Amino acid sequence: MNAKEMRAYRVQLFRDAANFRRPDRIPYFANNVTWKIFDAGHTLDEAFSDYGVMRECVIHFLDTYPVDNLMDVGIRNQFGVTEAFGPGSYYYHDKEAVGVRDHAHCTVDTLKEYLEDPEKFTWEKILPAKYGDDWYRKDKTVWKKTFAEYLKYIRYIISMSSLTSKKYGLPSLAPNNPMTGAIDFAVEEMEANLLGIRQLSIAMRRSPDELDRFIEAWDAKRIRPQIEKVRTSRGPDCKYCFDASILMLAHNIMNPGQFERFYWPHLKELLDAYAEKKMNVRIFMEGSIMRLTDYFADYPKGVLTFHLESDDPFEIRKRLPNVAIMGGLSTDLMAGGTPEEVTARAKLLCDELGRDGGFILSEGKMVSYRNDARPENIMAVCDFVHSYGK
Amino acid sequence: MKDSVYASYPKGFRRLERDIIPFYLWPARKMLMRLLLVILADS
Repeated sequence: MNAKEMRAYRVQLFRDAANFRRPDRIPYFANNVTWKIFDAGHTLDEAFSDYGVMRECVIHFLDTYPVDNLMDVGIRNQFGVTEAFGPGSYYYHDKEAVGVRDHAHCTVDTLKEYLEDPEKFTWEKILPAKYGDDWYRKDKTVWKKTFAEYLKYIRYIISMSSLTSKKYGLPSLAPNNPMTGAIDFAVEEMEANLLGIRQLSIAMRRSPDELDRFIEAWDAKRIRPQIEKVRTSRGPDCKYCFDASILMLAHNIMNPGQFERFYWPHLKELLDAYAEKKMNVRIFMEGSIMRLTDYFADYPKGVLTFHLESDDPFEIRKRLPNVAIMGGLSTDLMAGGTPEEVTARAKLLCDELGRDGGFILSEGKMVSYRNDARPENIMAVCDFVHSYGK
Repeated sequence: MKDSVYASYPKGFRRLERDIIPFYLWPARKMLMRLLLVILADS
């Protein structure tokens, strides 16, 4: 197969699995982020400061492991841009690890002001608060240097997209991305950036009406246009493995009542639109969704694929026989198990969950640290998916 | 930005766009600046 045929073949594998049709073989989605840098013999510092090194790491990974898709091709951490601008990053890294500090751009009182004009608010409030007095000294030279780094970053994204597609036959995961319009729910943005975990937790108890108003206004601007786009679309687009890819994390800090009020109605409206068009949504379920499975029980097969981070896939299948599952490989197993144990686990998952579609092999957690996996175990998964059922 | 020519919004911000975005990218300036602000603000 050439790269174009391989892309089409792999899309079909994902589409069949997601729609509970028996795929030609079980696909393997490598949930691999920074581990591949270590595997290629580099440190994070080296890869983050040189796109050539990062590219070499991705090539090393794809030359070594014939995976069907890859979570990240070295574009998640754009430190070149922020470091050119100067100190003040929430994200940080050293040779071994990337971290993020909890941060909050707003208070409950300023959420509305942010939403009225995010560009103005970012310019006048967020950036001066983040960079302190340094912000007032950013002159044309600094901005030009930062913009040059930013263009390098964009060129890197474009070149990697072309390389992985045209040389390695990797398909695009889903049409939504930051360039074309990410799908981002109000509660997720509040948790990640606008209020932070602590303030959002408090606000759900003390200022629920204010949150309701903000979420409604956010939806009108950010979610309803997406719903309209789905409703007027021609249905599934087989250039992509899924019709949308969404990340859910904020539900982990909510009790069922809070989920019911602040998250579910808004999520449901979007999922219903995808269901009407028989389109499939991959949801990366960070943390656990086990307490909230009832909400998703009524969707027909072929609408939802849950990429499970921590939940037991067998228990999720019992509760939600209508939802396709991605995952099943823990980093404990990938790091501490033998290739034989990894193969046995993969076989069990595929036998129990994927015999007639409905299952995609993947690591639950993003494989990030040096000790999150052993190379021979990733190879064992690749070997397994190519031989299973043949 | 008290002592910067880019201090005000929208006037200073628009001036920054003109100063740093190359001519051939001008049609895409809104998208470029939006993403750049997201990177600087959230990373």
